[in-house]
Amino acid sequence: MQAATSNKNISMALRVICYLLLFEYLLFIISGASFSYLQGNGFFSIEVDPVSWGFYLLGVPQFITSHPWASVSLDIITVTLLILFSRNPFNNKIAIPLFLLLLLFYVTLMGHLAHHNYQFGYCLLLLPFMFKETINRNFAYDAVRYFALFFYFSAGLLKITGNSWADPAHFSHLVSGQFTPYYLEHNTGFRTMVNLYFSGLPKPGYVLFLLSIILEIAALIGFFTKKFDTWLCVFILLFHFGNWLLMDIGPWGQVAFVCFVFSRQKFAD
Amino acid sequence: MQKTYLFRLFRHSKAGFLFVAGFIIFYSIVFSKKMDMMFFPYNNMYAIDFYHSSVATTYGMKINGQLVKFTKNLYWKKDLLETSLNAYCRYLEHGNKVFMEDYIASKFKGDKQAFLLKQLTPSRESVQNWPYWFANAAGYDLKPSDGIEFMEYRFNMADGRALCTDSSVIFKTNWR
Repeated sequence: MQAATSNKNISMALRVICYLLLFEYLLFIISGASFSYLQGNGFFSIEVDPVSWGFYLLGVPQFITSHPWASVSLDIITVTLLILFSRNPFNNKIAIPLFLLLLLFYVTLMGHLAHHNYQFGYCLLLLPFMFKETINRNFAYDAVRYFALFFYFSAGLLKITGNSWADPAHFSHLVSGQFTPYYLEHNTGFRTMVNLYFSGLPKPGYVLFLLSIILEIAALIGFFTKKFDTWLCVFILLFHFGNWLLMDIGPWGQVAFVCFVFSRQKFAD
Repeated sequence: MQKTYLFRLFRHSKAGFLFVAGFIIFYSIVFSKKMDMMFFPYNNMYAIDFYHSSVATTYGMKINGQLVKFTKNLYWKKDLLETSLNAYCRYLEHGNKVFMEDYIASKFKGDKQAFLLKQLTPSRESVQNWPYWFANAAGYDLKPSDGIEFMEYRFNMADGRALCTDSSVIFKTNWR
């Protein structure tokens, strides 16, 4: 009886994350940045990234953005698959095409944003579910978790090896350019007020910058134990929402993923 | 040792182990050469201070002298419009070329270069319609003969104030 109750709770937690993933994709549509909205936009600029090259060499993003029926269809198919995935996350026949579609969306959007976004979690989350056998899924889950840990840890490490941690004005210089379109449009408020404070006063910003490096480096703990995963999840989410507040870099696209990789121990399948 | 991930994976699946080990080796090489853009996630995020000052640059598009505003949109659309506008203005400033054109020209020659340029960079024809797409996406109507200008603005943020110190026209035309 106790086991049955436990399993029910476990699947519910995973379901919530699946719905969160669906919500994150719906945010792309609602805000106006999904496949359909890229239609008619023939300008793109990609970087030296073999995955992007693969899709662009095949001409897939170019085809989608120049054919309205293709972009609208892809949005409909993606949302449908996300709903089906939320209902049955362990069906890899849904997860595989969904992963490919979301990867295609990521590559297409990045091409049109003309820069890399760190919000890649909505795609990586699906990787473990592409495997049918539970044991394979668990191995894939661990691999994705290690990759996420490496991603955050290396971000901190590069700030140390690049010596930016030693520059008290580093953060204040970075935030200076984050809200300029808001000032240009006179669309100011609480966040721009905070931005002005940190742009003008390097020292408080430096403290925050050092804290963020410590937080990123703390991801290293996750390589040795899963005991602190809940705390890592909370701090990384705080870090992302803090980034939105201070630097106008939204966490959406990464939230479901962070919740998934750092709380998977509570799920069972 | 026997509890480590790679050891367990090796015992479970040799193919899986080879894939993961290959990925780690390849990624380590790429990473050690500071090619952090090789794969999708941007590990190097905000580790480099490119400008070493509190002077920031931003771009804007005007239709008949009126600035096209987009910051009131929801996050993803605002981000798309902002970064796409920045990239398009840099494209105009760079003689109608994206970064990849220079990269391919420096690394490849002959037929391979022509093929990669065709596939990995936007054609002049496909870019022509970008101002219309941008205006439309931001909720503005761009009609034939409307005057459009692409502007560059410089802000000084050093004193805790956002002072627009300079602006210049990058490109000016009438919409066909």
